[in-house]
Amino acid sequence: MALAQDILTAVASKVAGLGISLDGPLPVVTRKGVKKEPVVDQGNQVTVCLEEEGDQVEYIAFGNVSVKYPVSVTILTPNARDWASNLPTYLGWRQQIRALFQPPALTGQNPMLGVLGVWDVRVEPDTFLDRDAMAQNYDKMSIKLTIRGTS
Amino acid sequence: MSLNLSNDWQVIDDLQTVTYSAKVSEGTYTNPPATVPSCYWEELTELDYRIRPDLLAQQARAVHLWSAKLGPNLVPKLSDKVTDGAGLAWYVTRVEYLDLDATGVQRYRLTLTLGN
Repeated sequence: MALAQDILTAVASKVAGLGISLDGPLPVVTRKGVKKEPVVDQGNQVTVCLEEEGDQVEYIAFGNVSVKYPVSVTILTPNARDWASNLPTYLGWRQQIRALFQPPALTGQNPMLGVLGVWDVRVEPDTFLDRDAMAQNYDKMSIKLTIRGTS
Repeated sequence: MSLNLSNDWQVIDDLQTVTYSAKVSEGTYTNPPATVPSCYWEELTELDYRIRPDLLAQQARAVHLWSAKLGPNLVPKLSDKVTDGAGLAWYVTRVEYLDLDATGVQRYRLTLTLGN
């Protein structure tokens, strides 16, 4: 199986392990992209996907390469014209997810997701409460991971 | 007497029977599809193209479905599939609720794009 698929599965599994919940646990799904379709998708949902720019190859030497995978973890919940509720919850989720993937402070080691071939994981918090999505009645927030692998 | 718009399909010419499959999960649609009679196909309007200019670059149409013909359990939604009389499969990209009378929505206008 492709390394990218292993990465998506591992990221989804780690995020699911956090057990974040809002009116019940949020399902964590891997998809081609982030979307919200009635019935098909849960009201509250976490989506893990490879970003549109896709994998990027960095050439090192002697035929070795480092491949960069931009992965996003996006949470989508209903907004219901409420611009105050759940704000502490959202901020907490963001911190939890960030902490899950950032290096432990004492050892300086990355968690590496437990995927063979991955040698670097960097967290880059992305959009917090996308204002366009809020205008369409959704609370949408993303955390981006830049993951480097050997193939 | 309150307004009743549920039978407006009777005054429309050139109606067609279509089949309707609701999307249940990724890659899965209700099977067998529901047969929906008395549907009215329409060209897209300037407003549709202003909302989504990319519709100009693909095969897109609109269809009107009446609640009375859909039945009580079928409410059109995003990504559902409509198969027209010629057997072409169209996918729902927008749902408009129209003809709201005392008993609710009596007609849906769906913006559709042709499946590839």
